[in-house]
Amino acid sequence: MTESFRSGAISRRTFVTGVGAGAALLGLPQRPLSASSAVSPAEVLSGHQFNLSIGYRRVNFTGSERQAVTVNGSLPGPILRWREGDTVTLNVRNQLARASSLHWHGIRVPSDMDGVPGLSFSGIEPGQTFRYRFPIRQSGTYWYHSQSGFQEQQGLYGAIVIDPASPEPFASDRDYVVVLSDWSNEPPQAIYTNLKKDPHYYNRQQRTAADLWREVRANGVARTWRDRHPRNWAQVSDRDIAHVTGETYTYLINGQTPDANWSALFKPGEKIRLRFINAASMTLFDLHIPALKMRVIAADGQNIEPVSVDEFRIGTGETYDVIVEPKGDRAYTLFAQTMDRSGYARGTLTADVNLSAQIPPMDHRPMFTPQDLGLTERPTATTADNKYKTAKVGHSDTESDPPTAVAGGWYYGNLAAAGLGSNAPIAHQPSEFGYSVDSRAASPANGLTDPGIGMRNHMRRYNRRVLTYADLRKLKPSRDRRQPERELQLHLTGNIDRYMWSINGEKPRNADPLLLRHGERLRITLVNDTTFVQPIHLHGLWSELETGDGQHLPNKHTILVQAGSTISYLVSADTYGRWALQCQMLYQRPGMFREVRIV
Amino acid sequence: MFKAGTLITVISLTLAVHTSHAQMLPQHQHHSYQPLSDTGEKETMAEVSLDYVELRGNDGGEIEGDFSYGDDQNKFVAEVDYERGGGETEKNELWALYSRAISAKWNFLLGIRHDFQLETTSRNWIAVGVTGETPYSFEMDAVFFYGKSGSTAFRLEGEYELKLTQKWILAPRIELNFFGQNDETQGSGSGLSELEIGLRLMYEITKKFSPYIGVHYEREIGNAADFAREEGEDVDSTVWVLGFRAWF
Repeated sequence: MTESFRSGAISRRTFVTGVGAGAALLGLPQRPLSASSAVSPAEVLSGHQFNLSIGYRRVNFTGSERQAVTVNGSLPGPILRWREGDTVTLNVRNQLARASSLHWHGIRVPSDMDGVPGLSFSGIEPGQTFRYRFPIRQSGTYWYHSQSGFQEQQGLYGAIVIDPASPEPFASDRDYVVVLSDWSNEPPQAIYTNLKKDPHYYNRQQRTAADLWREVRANGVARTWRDRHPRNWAQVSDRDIAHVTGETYTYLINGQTPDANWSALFKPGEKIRLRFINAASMTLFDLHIPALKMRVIAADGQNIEPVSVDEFRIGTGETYDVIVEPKGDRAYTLFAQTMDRSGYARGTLTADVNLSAQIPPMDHRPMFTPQDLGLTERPTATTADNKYKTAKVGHSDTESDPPTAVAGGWYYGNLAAAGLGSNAPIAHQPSEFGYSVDSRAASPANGLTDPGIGMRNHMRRYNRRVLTYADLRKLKPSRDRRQPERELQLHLTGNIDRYMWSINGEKPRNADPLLLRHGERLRITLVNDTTFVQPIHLHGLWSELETGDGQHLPNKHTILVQAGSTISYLVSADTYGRWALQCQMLYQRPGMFREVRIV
Repeated sequence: MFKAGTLITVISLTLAVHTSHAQMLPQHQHHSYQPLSDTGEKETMAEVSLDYVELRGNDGGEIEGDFSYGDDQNKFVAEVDYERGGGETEKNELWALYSRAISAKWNFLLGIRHDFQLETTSRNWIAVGVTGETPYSFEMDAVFFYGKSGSTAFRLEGEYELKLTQKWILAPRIELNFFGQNDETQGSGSGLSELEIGLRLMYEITKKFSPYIGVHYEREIGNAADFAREEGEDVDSTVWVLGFRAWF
């Protein structure tokens, strides 16, 4: 039975979806929906059985009407509220003219329930209903989205909130879901085609002759030449931070534009839990709330030891839960600027429905550094042969022999201990040397402590403490404390000019599945050879990010691999089946995708 | 010669079709579900790009553009290059090429170039070359031609786009034409025969449409210059240009 969640029914802890719902519940006068309000706020569905209908819906975010693809007519789709230990049944009916699917992002389901056409099932044909049914063995904040075509860009996504079976370790008085996303009036296929034909199509903040002139005046010709040489030689556009930008995107919070200003109420002194979900197709958001500290309590739905920060970057597919304690009869702005500073999503936390706070200016526009090109200061180690450039990865302090490499990027023996990351040499596969790959990181940095491009000196510049992956420590000890038996090194590769993306230089259809043995514990090391940060999502299994303490590795489902950097995580291959390892950037996913098969 | 050219085109097109077809076949036939065709990636793409469509001050103009169709690695390219100045048609070329990606930034080209001649007989060339981008982002085409009774030619083109602002672009361009022999009827001479230099100031109204103004300079060199002098023609000329660049 689907039923609307009534937050009024819960005594103190309310769970609401914004002023629309909140105001109604509190008996406050409801604000008229502004012209740019597209659709009604997402309703909350809870229970064991859910009827979801995928269909078209006219929306209007920017003054002109467009067709969106929605679940039950709302954008984002309804919030699905589950309970740990329950078994849920979801009847998903496809009313589109083409095949569709729903993937439960971060939910540990049997592989035939994972919703990836071609791997889990054949997709949901027009007019058909597919019944998903699986037990819920986890709790926290997750989301769902289409895994068919580019439907995700058209609005086919929504939040999942799972209540824990055991008591919630972090108390809060109110609970809000904050879904960040990007909307374009252009059809997604047109965006993809534009990128294919001109990868800089949406970039209107490239460096110009004026910047060159300023640099020459400040530093002289010789130094400017030296500074710019690596990028110029590599033909890299140094402000190519995002492929799809505010030129075409309107950024949304819970389906509301910055002008529509999604708002959430608080009473002074209350603890407010905000469940941030990045459901965008191509946008990484840097989020801060001026004058409000955020206590991060969960990453990708899984509880961590709380970390107090001023700002965090949330990659596409990731979720973060934070607790804030706003004070006074005032308003605060939720400010989510895009990584390339071409736009922002904005919402308001307010004690009074008529109050809103100032919108802060956007931060400086970032530019590639040598680190983003995979050129760190660290000396390069031995060169094995012509094809294999090697460099030692700096996670481990041990000076023992490196692991032994075998074909396909596998390493055995002398692996660094769980939690420390990889000590294997970086080796580019022969398949990386072709027309599909335009850069290979020569000396990649360890991305663990890197807050990412544009966020690296925010303490000095803005006095804001930024979250890094190194801060993440699982609240409860890791379940599987075995050491990794072997290590798989995968290279994230691409060619920006041809707009081709791949893993190890191979397109998915030309590559064999990655075979894992059921029950094995292994390390996956991702080396990002591209000059763009890549959010990588492994379906069906936890990616236990190696943040140092092997006993407290945070369970993640989506991992940001910084440009020109490397990062490692452990995987317990405990669920049979066929899974996807994919880039969460929608227009890169066609190429940067690989089947993982557990046999 | 025309037959040889046609043959090469047919071979290269067949090659292109075969390679792309092979890529479209799913690798794992034992999959119980449909192959991963629904990830949104289109196998092939068509593009029309008009690089220079312009009027020139000397009662002339230029149309240079191409249509391409294919996947990431293999493309068929049909190219038009028409140039007129001082009441005379300087170029009237139709190309049919097979383009194959050979490295991150470079494509290999193979095909034919047909020169329409109104006054004399039309000519065909086998064209072999590369197109791509050099370090420091110079766009470059280098094509070698082999034509009737062993005649040879070589064309080198380069362009650079300097961003003055996000929308104003200054684009210098150079073209050099070399020949393996003298050809008085065509006015071309052995060695470096002709040099063209252009400078265009473009304004991107949209990324797909940029009108421009500019200046175009061309000069006959060596034997070609002698032929021009014998004909009583100018050896060099500098003209204003007005035009646009577009793609879709």
